[in-house]
Amino acid sequence: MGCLVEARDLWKVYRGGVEAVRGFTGSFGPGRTAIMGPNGSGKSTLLAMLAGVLKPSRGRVLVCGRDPWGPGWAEARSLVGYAPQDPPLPRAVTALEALTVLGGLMGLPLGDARREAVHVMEELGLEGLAGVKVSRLSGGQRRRLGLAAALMGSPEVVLLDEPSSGLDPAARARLWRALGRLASGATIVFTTHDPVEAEEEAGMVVVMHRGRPLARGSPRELIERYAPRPRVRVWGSGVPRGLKPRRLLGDGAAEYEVEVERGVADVVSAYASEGVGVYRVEVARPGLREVFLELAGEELEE
Amino acid sequence: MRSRARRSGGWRALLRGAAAGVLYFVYGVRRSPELLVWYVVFPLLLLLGARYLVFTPGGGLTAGVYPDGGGVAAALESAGFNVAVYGSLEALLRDLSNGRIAVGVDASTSPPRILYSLDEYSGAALLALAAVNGVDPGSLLGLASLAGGIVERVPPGPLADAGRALAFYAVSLVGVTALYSGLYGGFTSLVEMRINGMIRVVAGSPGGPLTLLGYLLGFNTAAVTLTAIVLLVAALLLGADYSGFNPAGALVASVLLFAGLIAVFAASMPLGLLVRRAELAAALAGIGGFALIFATGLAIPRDFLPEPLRSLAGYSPLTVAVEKGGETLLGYTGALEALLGAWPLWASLPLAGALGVIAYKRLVSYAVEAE
Ligand SMILES: Nc1ncnc2c1ncn2[C@@H]1O[C@H](COP(=O)(O)OP(=O)(O)OP(=O)(O)O)[C@@H](O)[C@H]1O
Ligand SMILES: [Mg+2]
Repeated sequence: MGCLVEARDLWKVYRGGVEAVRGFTGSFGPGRTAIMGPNGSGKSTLLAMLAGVLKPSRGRVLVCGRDPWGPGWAEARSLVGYAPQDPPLPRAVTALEALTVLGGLMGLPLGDARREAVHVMEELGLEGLAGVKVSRLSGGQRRRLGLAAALMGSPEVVLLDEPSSGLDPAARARLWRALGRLASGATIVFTTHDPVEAEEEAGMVVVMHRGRPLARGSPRELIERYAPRPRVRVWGSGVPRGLKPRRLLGDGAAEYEVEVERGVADVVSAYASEGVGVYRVEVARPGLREVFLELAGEELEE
Repeated sequence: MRSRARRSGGWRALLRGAAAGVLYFVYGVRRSPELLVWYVVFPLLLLLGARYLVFTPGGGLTAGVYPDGGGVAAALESAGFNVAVYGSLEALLRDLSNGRIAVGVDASTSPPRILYSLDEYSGAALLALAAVNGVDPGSLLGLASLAGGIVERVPPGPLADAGRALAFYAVSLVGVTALYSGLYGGFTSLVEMRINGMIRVVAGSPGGPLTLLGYLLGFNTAAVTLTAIVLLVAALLLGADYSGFNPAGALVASVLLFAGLIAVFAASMPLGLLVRRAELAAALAGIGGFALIFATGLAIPRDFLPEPLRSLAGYSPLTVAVEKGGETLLGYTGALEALLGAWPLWASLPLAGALGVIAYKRLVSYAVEAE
């Protein structure tokens, strides 16, 4: 169950010379790995290369030891379920029929494909859409159908490109529950822009920056490494002279980064000693959001 | 370690794709009116149009004259004939045997030969004989003086009889659908699939690019098969004469039409490399298809085309498939004879195929490499 997906010095140079992935080396094991990174950092490109649908310009991919671009390609690809950001679907038929056809294209015998389609749709809570024509589905519904297609046939490796973007909170919850049942033990790699989701759902996180992995580790490790200090936000009538806020927020709050041990008390007592009024204090546990901003902040401000 | 799907070799990948393509068509035709319009309504309309506009005996008698023998045409006209003047005897004979003209007058001999083909025009032939010789057909004496005149019967061809013509025309319309299907279901679909990412995803499936190829071919074959069944049944209901129909002929006709479809499918594939936009690809297929169904004698029988188009169309793979297929289907030629007679199809197939394979491979690798 599950296996290693490896990338070795993987490059992708697109037509027009864009270097989307620049020497990515790393491996993904069983469990869930989230790939984060700013827009255009190469996440989708990397995933497509791992899935065997986009040919690397250089370097190697190994899926359970088999190269989807080498002699064992058919076997490597039969292990992978992949949902692109904007999944292509046959449009002239109903959702259930589209999944059945896709299952057939992915190599499932047609009878099994239909059964699998029904099963996967149920797991994802899509049974109500089974009879609806694909061309009439909403954007989010179409994305969920694309995810269903990737999960058909219980693949060992599941690669999902922004699976939860465009999904309502209930649909997201349903997706993660379904993944737990349909792909338990599989190697799941997904991209996301939602740090909370990555923190809650992923055992490992890789932060990409300009086509390379910038940091990797469990959410806990990354937080400890890159954003160990809690943040204190104080809404007050001003900012005490003796304090240096990390930044001033839009609604007038000042944010401070403080030592884990005794920082909160220091900040509040500075307000008190200078007679600056305090309306509200919030202590934020640092999360992947802070890690992300720390790592990619400069990029975002460009 | 459990594989998600059975592994597939070349043929199995192709067939698996074909099965998915057939399934997509079977599902789609029930869900999408546009598919029904393309593959059922449109061919049926053409058939109905042909039945009621073309293959019904026209009003008035038409006589063909070769060459423009001065007074002959005028004499026929004053006897009440519509006159068509021919530049060659061959063309005149062809139209005569196809029933497009009731009577032919070969004025290159002396005395002129009066020709007819269908029995119902024997009276008209006598009328023409009288007119050409300046005799009043109303007087018995005058008719007797024509005893030495030449009236000959030319054996009627397959298109002479309306019921027969309709039977042939139905096969032609299968050819029309095969042409459109090959264009739209081939390079046009691929251009669209390249844009929406379908090529990548299917070419990246365990079956690889062959699965995608099978998918397209399966869809097209299912579509044209449905059209063929609908057209043959409709033609029967409209009074087409299918006497001589035989299973071996039907099989050979299917093989020929399938080969014709592949030829169009493959030969147009390079267009998919030149065109990047779906709308442009669809427009090209639409305009190209429209021009071809007329220029190659599919939507109107080849015998009705002017030279040199008529002769050229005789080398068009799909036209050959339709003609030889129709002939053997209706028992005019044996199965083997029809297969051999379709040599232009067999000659063009490897060329079209090679071109198609090269273009298809390039198309897929453009999509998969994106560089
Ligand atoms: N088909 C393509 N042709 C040319 N350039 C491309 C193509 N696809 C992506 N790129 C470029 O490659 C870079 C990486 O794109 P990619 O889609 O992998 O980023 P991403 O990390 O998934 O971004 P996002 O978070 O916005 O989804 C970008 O600069 C993008 O413009
Ligand atoms: Mg992306």
